[in-house]
Amino acid sequence: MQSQPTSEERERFTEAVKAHSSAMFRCARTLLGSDADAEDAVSEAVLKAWQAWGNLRKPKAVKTWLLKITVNCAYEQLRKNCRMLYTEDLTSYEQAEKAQEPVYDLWCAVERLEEHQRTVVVLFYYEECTIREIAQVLEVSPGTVKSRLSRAREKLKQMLREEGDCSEQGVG
Amino acid sequence: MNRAWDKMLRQRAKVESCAIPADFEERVDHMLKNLPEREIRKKVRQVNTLLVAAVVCILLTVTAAAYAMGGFEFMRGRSEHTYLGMNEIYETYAQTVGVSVAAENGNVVTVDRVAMDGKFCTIFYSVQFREPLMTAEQLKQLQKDNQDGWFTATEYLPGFYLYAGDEEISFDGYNNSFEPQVYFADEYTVYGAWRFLLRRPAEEGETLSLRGGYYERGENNEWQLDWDFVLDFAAHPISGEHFDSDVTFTATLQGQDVRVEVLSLDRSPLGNLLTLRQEKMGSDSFGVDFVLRDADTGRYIPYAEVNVNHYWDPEGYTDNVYELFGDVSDLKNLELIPTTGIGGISPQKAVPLTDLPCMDSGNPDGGYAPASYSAKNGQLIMEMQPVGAVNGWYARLSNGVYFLDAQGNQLFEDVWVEKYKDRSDGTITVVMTPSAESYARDVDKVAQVQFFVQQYEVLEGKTVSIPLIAS
Repeated sequence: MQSQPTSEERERFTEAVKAHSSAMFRCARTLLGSDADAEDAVSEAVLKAWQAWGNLRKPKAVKTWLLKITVNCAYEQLRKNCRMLYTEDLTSYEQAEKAQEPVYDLWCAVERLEEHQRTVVVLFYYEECTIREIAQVLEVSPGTVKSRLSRAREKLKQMLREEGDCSEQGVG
Repeated sequence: MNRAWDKMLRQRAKVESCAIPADFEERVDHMLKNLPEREIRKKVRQVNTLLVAAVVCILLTVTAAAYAMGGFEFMRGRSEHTYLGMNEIYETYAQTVGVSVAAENGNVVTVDRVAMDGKFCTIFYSVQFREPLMTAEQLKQLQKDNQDGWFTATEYLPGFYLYAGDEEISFDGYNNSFEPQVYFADEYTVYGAWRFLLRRPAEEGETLSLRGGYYERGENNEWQLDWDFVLDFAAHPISGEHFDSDVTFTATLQGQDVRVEVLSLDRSPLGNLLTLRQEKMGSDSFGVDFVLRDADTGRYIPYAEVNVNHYWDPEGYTDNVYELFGDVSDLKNLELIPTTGIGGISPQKAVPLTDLPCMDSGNPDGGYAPASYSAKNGQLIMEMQPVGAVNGWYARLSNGVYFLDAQGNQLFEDVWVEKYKDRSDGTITVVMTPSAESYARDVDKVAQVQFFVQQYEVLEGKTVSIPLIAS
């Protein structure tokens, strides 16, 4: 009952990864301090996803599944602190310095959030995941996701408003 | 919730995003064209009606019995709860509360029992919904799948918070992801155990309020409060030990030196916690990596990081909390030894079932190794035991475990995974539920267990000594 992966299997996997590679990169970048690290995490996630492709329970949930693997790989990357720091990298220290710079767009504001809030904001607003999907990706309860989102929204409002960059209407 | 603000965030997210590096898509294409070969199995559809019927019968029996129970009794009967290694502790220390409150919409929340010390508060509760959350048939189907029951149940629950007057004394969002402890008893009733981490101890007799609010997305995607409740009960915390510390050390995080203060160690039958405060790097809250050891006996102490939010951290610092597993009642001198990750992508290690229990984690300094395996009722149950110097980060086992036949081919499909940490010894029980078809096809072929090796090195030269001196 063994066989090599069919071209159809490869094609389906390739399509899935291509469709969500930007989302995977954004998720990894949310957690990691540089584009290079984020790409490394995505590379590892793609390999792990390919190995576990047969374990995907619901093909329609492939995006959530890929993002969950990516988030885990990004956390692994963070823990391996042996890499050299390059001057062009966006390191955590540079991020601290950037905290003093004005916020000029939403992504800039998101980067200043706490890591737990950053992740839920990116998954909710950028990747348009549902609360349940985010809970699966981050392995927390839906209540926790809602709580983090709520506080993140308030912080974003504050940051963008302080910079005079808020154009909301009908505040209530 | 501000609808306009939410809408604006969505609109801006479409435009104001992080830049994807040039040629990223090309590099992804290249990677996809060079994927390694992997063997797959053709799916054979088999319906094991006898197995399904047996599982449904068992679940119905449990459900019928559970309906007459309180939350504590219900949880005590769950095998997953047993994996936490706290049954005897809760039998001894969980005190009867027996308070119910009805929300405006008619839902009834009951706190059955509470086990509390200076740091933890575990409530055993039930929620009786006025309207059914689903039909009985839908629930049967959900429970037949086995893996969706707890997760779906959490979707219907409000987030829980603990207050003393207007003071929030629980860490919001505490959830270490390993112990989903909420279940459907029937289509109206959910039972669960919720373990709070406390920001401060409660006084004996102090009135505490369990608060919860459930929000749903309404029209135009705005959040609306659906129902909420406040349930008051009196606190009766058990005594524990608190050890303050003034030990500080320097550790390396992502290539940078950070100063770390050992704030305290708390010890009681309900749990043991080590709290560290470290200089903050940017907006990240990750803690340094380390192993723990009893300086007097040389025994390594397994532990895991507790997920907390960091809203109350002092400016410029991150407070991280770690739960120590096993018996540390005689601990007098704790050693904290930093570790450093090594290697690239984690290699995989396969261990024949005949070699279990295995004491080799694949990492010379220590880690987790497979201890036992069993298969029953459509589930595969693997125990991973801590060996040697155990880094708490890797206790997440985020890469999971896999099963191989004698030829090394991967078995099972559509596997749902849940993990439970045993507080009494640090063992992690991994419960996996594959598709019924693949379980029936492969369960007798399991010959090896495969897992990813977490590679790290213990930096003995940087050992930090932490004497426990009573406050």
